[in-house]
Amino acid sequence: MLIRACAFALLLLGVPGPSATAVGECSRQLLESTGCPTVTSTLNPTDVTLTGINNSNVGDPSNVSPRGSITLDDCADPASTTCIRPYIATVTAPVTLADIASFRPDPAVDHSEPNGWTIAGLDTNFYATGGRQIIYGALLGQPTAVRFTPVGWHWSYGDGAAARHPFAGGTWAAQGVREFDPTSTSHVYGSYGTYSIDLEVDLAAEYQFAGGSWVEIDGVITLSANRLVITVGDARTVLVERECTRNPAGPGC
Amino acid sequence: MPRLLLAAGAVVFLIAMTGCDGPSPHVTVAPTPSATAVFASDEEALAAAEASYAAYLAIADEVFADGGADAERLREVATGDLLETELKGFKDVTEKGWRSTGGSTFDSMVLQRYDPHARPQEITVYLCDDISAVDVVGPDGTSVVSPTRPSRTLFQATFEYDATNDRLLISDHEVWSDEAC
Repeated sequence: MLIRACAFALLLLGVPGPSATAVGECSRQLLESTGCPTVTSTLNPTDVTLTGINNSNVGDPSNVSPRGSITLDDCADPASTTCIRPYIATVTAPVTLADIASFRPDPAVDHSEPNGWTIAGLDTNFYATGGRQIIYGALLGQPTAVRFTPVGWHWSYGDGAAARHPFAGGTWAAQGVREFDPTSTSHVYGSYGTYSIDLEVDLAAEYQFAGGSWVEIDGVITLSANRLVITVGDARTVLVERECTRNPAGPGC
Repeated sequence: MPRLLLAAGAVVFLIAMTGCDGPSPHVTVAPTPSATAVFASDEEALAAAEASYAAYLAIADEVFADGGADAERLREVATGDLLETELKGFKDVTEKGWRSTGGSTFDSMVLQRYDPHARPQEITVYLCDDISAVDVVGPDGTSVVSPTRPSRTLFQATFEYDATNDRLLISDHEVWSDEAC
C-alpha cells in the first residue's frame, strides 16, 4: 500500500456537532451508580477529540501515542475506591492515512477489450471495475467505518506509454461505441509483441464514528490492480479458399 | 452485535454497486425445511424479548437489593458476556457494601432483528431502560448515585434462545446512543 500526498484532498469541512456512542460492558451496578460508559466524539477537519465517560478504552495511551494527547481526571485512578463521579478521559489526535492502515479495501480489477489480444494501430479499450467500499474496524480504539472512493486511474501500457485518468472507463457496449472505436481510456499499440499492462488506482478515504459525519482524511491510498498481458498482432485482408480453420493448407492461410 | 443495521445496509449497498452487465439468470431458491422457527412471527419474538428483559430486571433488582448476594440467580435469565459482566459487577457491589432500593423498569422496546433461520436463534431489540426510581446506598446508608447518572438509557439488547431449557436469555446489551429515550 502506497501513501501519497494529495493536494486536492484538502476540503473545507464544517465542524459537525459532537456525537456519542458507547463502548464497553455496563453492569447494573455501573448503570445505577454512575451511568454506563459513553464516548463523545467531536470531529474536525484534521483532529478528532474523544471524550469518554467511565470509558477506560478512550484513556488507553496506545490509542493516540505518539501523535495525540490524553487527559484523565482524578476519578480515572484505578486505586481510587471513593470516587463516585464518572471519570472523564479526553483524547485529541489528528487522523492520518497511517491510522487506517488496517482497513484494507479490495483492489480494482483491470479489463481490456479485446481480452488478451488486440490489433496494432487500432484502439484497445481498457477499463477498471470496483467502486466505493465501506470497511468497519477500530480507529483510536472506537468502532469506525472507513469509506474508500476511487478517484484516479493510472495505466502503464507496457510499451512505454502511460496515462492518468480521473475515470475508470467502461465497455464499448456501455459507452455505445463500436468495437475498436476510441474511448476515453483506450490505447493504440504501434507494433506487434506481448505487453504487460499495470493499473494503479488512487482511493480517497473518509472515516465516520457511529452517528457522526463522514470526515475526509488528507491524501490518497494507491492500490495496484491485477496485471493484464496482451498479445498485439496485425490485421490484413486476404483471399482464402475456405476458412483457415477448416483448410489450414489452403492459399492465403 | 453492534451496528447490525448499518452493516446490512452496507452489504446491500456493495451488492448494488457491483451489479453485473448482462441479464441475471433466474434462480429458484428451494425453501429449507430444516430450520424450524421458535417464534412464529416478529410479534411473538418481541413479546418473548419483553418477557425475558422483565425477568432479567426483576432478578437483577433482587440481587442488587440483597447487596450482591447469590448473584448466580442471574443464570436463570442471562448468559454470555452480559452474565459475566453482571457477576463481576455484583461481586464489586458486595465488596463495597452497596445495595439498591426501588425497581428498574423499561419501555419502548422495538424489534431490530429476528432471523428464524439463524442458529442459535437470536433476537435483537432496542429499548429504554428506566432507573429513575432506583437509588444505590453505601454501607452508611447515604446515596452513592452520581449527580450526572442518566435516569433513562437507550440500549440495544440481544437475546439468545436456550433450546435445552426452552427459554430466552439476555446475552448482550450496550448503550446505543445518548439520544433521548
